[in-house]
Order: sequence, then structure tokens, then C-alpha cells
Amino acid sequence: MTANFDALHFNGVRFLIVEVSVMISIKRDCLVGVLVSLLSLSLIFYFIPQYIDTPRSVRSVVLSPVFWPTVIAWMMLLIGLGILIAQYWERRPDVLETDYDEPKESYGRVFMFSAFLAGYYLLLPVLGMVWSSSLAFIVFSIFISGTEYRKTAVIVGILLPLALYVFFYHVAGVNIPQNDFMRLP
Amino acid sequence: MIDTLGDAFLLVATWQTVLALGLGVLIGVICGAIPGMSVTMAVALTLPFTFALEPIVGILLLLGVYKGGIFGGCIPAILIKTPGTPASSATILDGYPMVKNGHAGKALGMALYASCTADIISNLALIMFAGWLASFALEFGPPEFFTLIVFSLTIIAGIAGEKLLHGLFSAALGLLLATIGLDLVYGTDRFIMGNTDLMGGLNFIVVLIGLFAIPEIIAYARRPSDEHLKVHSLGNDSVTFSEYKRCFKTIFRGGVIGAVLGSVPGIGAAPAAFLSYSEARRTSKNKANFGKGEIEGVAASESGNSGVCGATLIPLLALGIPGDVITAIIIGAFMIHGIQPGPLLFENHSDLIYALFMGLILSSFYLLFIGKFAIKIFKHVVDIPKSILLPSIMVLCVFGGFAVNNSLFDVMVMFILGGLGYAMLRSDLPAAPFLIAFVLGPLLEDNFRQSMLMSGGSLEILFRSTITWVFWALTIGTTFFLIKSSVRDRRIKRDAAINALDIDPVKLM
Repeated sequence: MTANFDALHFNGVRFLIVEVSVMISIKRDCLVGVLVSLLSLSLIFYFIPQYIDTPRSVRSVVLSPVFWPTVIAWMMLLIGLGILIAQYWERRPDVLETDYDEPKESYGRVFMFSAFLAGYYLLLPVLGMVWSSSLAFIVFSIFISGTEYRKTAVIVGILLPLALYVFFYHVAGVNIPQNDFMRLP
Repeated sequence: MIDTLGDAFLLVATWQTVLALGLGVLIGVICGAIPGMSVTMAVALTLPFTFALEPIVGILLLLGVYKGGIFGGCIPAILIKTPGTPASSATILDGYPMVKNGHAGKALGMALYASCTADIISNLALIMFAGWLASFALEFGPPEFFTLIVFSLTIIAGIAGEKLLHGLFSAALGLLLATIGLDLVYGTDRFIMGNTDLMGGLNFIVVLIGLFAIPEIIAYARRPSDEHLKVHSLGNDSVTFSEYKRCFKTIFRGGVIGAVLGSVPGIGAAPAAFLSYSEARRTSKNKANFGKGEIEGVAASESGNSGVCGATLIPLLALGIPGDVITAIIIGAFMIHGIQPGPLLFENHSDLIYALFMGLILSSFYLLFIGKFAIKIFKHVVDIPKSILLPSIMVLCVFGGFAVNNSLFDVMVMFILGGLGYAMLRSDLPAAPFLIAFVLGPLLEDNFRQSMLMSGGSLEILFRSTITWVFWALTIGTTFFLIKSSVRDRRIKRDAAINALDIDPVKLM
């Protein structure tokens, strides 16, 4: 009796795991389906009419500048609905490998890293590409990655942007942005 | 003909070309050998360095990276059971057991010889068939090209991932972003939103780096680590000539399988390696030894994946259609230098074509020598800490993204597309169909609108010839096959998961 109860309990727990993971996958794919559908609807009803100029002299609708983006948008709508229908229809339990147990800090790290990239971009015209890249390299390697090779990080962080500057500026003729107070030859 | 060959030889026989090709193979082998650094990323990051080079030098540099990368992927697959590229997955099956049996040097040696032999076979296939296909394609008009591109998109979007609809959405997104800029016929604004930087559309290289390199950096920043992988020692044993001779039939077959599958857009190197491996196991005398450290298994998988490299250039050079995501990048390199791949390339730039063929043959020999060297230095390559490698890639991305148009706006676009690429990665949306659709999008629309201009807006022109009918039939057949196999795969996975958990399927209904 106890053994039977344990087996039932064990299967019940497993069943629960599958149900939870299925729910998470459905949730994620449903979200993708909803977002795709919303994107396509916003394209059809807002972005295409608003941001594509159509000349009045268009001879045929298939030659119009809006025709091709409209076809793509409708295609997206069908795909989005297809994803939603597929999720409703199938309920796949093949998603135990999904990272539903992922710590929330990792999302915070992604957000912080996005802010870091934005800061890097904003520094490019201020410090110039070489020095802002050196700084970004060192910050990424030492503070974001927490490397144990700090000396290597500093050396590579300075030498790599300099080497790239030499190639792109002196060999390829690309006008690499520089600042006014530490100009490179 | 002799004059053309002479001109081609003069193009190849320069120190810049010879050096670029060797450097490309070396970069490719090193990048392929670093787990987590894909060949696609390596080719994408090398692309900005080709701007200042002559077309033939730049293109051969990229082809060197491609070929070296495919081989390089086998080194970690064999030594640390971690394939450097998906194409090397099959090599683990026998390569790693060989290492455990103390035959690391033999496994790597056979992988190298099989790769070089199959590479030569693939190059010969390219030389023999690309010209023939191009002369056939000269009869194509805009409607034929339109149907061909539709077919290519179907097959590429479908094969790119486990989820067919996700792959198709990714391709549709690529097509949509390709419409940004001025309209091809009327020159009016499309999605520019008042920004003059967008008038020329999104730059291909910026999109490429954004989609393939930045997401990897973000993914690393999410979970940074400096873990070191355990590398087995090589030992002193190497492949004997009799072993190579014994495996030659398998290598030749693998090379042919790779060349055939490589010439079909969208299949890629990994399926070729697995097919070659399964054929070798099916026909081998040592069938029972496969999976336990059979040298023939390593030869089969490596010849299969390397056989793809040259052949993927057949649709690229002859039709202007990329066979996979790497050849899509190489199309970008052609375009940067003002060269449009396709049948007319054989008419207008035949010297370039022959120079490419010569360079490719040379690259096989480079691979042999550089591969031998790379095997020995692998331990140091794999020791590069990720906390140094990933910031280096980030800086390379910024310099490369800027160098395309000398524009900081492009760097911003690259970061934004990197965010999009990361979101796609997290949502199981494959990036490869996006990129290929982005490359093919303008061609697709251009040929469609040219067809419509020819017919005065009648869609009947898209069914005007046998060729268009053949491509429509192939598109419908492929779509049907993809849907069927996608539904079947989902069902198999679902049943497997249920069986693994001992759960009554009825309960899940």
C-alpha cells in the first residue's frame, strides 16, 4: 500500500514537472506568437501606411513600394497565428532543458550589460574609438567578467585597440574617431 | 581561355594573395578550435579587414577562414569532446574514444588528411560544375530568378532550426529589414523615419556582426566564467600510409557526399558529416568498432564536413544564391567590391573566377601544413580565457562595424541588432534564416518587380517557363516535406519525453 502510494506520489511529482515545463514552453512560444502577431498588425495598420511613401503615379498595385512590405507583414501574421495555434494544439513536454530555474540576477546582468554597451557607444565620440575601447575592454574584462588575469586584461585592453587603429587608419584608410586631447599619429 | 588562365594566375601569384590565403586558413583553424567561437563569427569579424584589399585577396582570405574553421572545429571535438563547430559533432563519436585509447595524434592526423582530401574533391566539383550551372543559368530571366530565390528561402528557412515556424518568422524578419531604405523603383522612403543614415538601408556587415557576434558577448556577460577545459596529450603516434589507404574509400565517399549536399542550398556541413559517418559504418568491415574509437569513423565525418566547403560555392558563384550562412557573408564580400555573383560573373570576371579556383586548390595544401602546426599549438589556443577573448571580440566588432561606412550610427545599429539577436537566441528564433533572407531580400524583390514591369503587373509571368514551374514544384514539395517532418519530429520528441518520465500520454491530453 505504502509502495503503491510512493509510486503514485513519484509519478505525480514527475507529472507535475512535465506540466510546469510544458506551461513554461507554451508561455514562451505563446509570447513569441503574440509578439509576432502584434508586430505584423502594427506593420499593416501603422508603420507601412505611416512610413512608406507611395507615389500617386503607381501603375499597378504589385509595383507599389508598399506591396512587398505588406506581403511580408501578412506572412508574419500568418506565422504568428500559426505559432499560437501550434502551441494550443500540441502542448509539448520536450522542454525540460529550458532554463525556467534561471536566477533572476542573470536578467539584471543582461540589463546592466546593455547599459554598459550604451555607455561605450556614448563615449566613442568623446574619448575617441581607441581610448573608449581600451576603457570598455578593461571594464568588461575586470569588472563584468571578474577575470583573474588582470594584468593581461590591461595589456590586451590597451594594445588591441592600438593595433586595430594602426590597421584601420594607416593601412585601410578608415578615419577612426579620435579625441582632441590625446591624438594618435 | 589560355589568356584568361594567364590573367587568373597573375591575380593569384602575388605575395598578398598567397599570404592572405595562408593567414585566412590560420585564423580559421584557430577560431574553429576555440569552443564558443563559431566559424560564422570568425568570417564575420574578418570581413571588415578585407575592405582595403583587392577583391581576390579579400575573398580568398575569407574562404581561407571558412575552410580553416571547418577543420579547426574537429580539434576540440577530438581532444576535449567539445565540437568547435556543429559540423564537427559527428567527429566526437570516434575521435574522443580514440583519445581515451591513447591515439589522439592518430585521430587528429586522420581528421587532417581526410579534410584535405575531401577539400580537394569538393574544389574539383566546384571547378567542374559551377561553370556548367552558370551557363545554364544564363537563360534565366527575372521570373526564373524570383522562383529560384523563393525556393532557396523555403529550404533554408526550413532546415535552419527545430521549429519550422520560428525559422520562417526569422526569414520574414530578415526580408522586412531588407526593405528599409529607398525604394528600388520609385526612390521613395521606406521605414527611414526621417533618418538620412537609413536611406541606403541597413548595412549587411553591421547586421551580420550584430546578429552573430554581439549575442554571444551578451550571453557570456550574463554568465561570465573562466573555466579551463581538460586537454588530453597528443602522444607520439601518427597516421600511417596504410591506415590512410585503408580509409581512402571512406574519405572519397565522404568528400562526394559533402560535395553533393554542399551544392544544395541550406543543408550545410553537419548533415553531410553525419550522412558520411552513417554510410561508412553501414559499409565498413569494422562496423562493430564504430563509436569505440574507429579511425575510419573520424575519416568519414571529417571528409563529409570538409567536402561541403568548395561545393557551397557552386550555387554562390553560378546563381548568386548562398548555400549557407557563411557563403551569405562571402556574397557580402563580393558586393563590397562591386562584384555581383551569378551567371554573369563567369562572363564578365572569368579571370577572377579562375583565380578563385586556383586559390582554393592552394588552400587545401595550406590546410595540410597549417593544420599540422595548429594541432600542436591547440593547448595554448584553448587556454585563452574567455574574460580576455570576449572583450577582444567586442572591440573588434566596434572597429569593424564603424569601418564599413565610417559611421558611428552603424555601431549603434550593430548594438541594437545585437540585442535583437540575443532576444532571438533566447526565443529559439534561428539567426541564419534572418541573415540569408536579408541578403536575398533585395534580389527577391528586385526580380519580382522587374517581372511585374515586364508583364505590366500580371502574375502570369511567374509561370512563364518550364524552369519557373520546376522551381514552384520544388518549393511546394519542400514546404510539404518540411511541414511533415517538423510535425513528425515534434511527435517523436514528445513521445520520447513522455516515455522518459513514465507518464501516461492520456494524462497530458
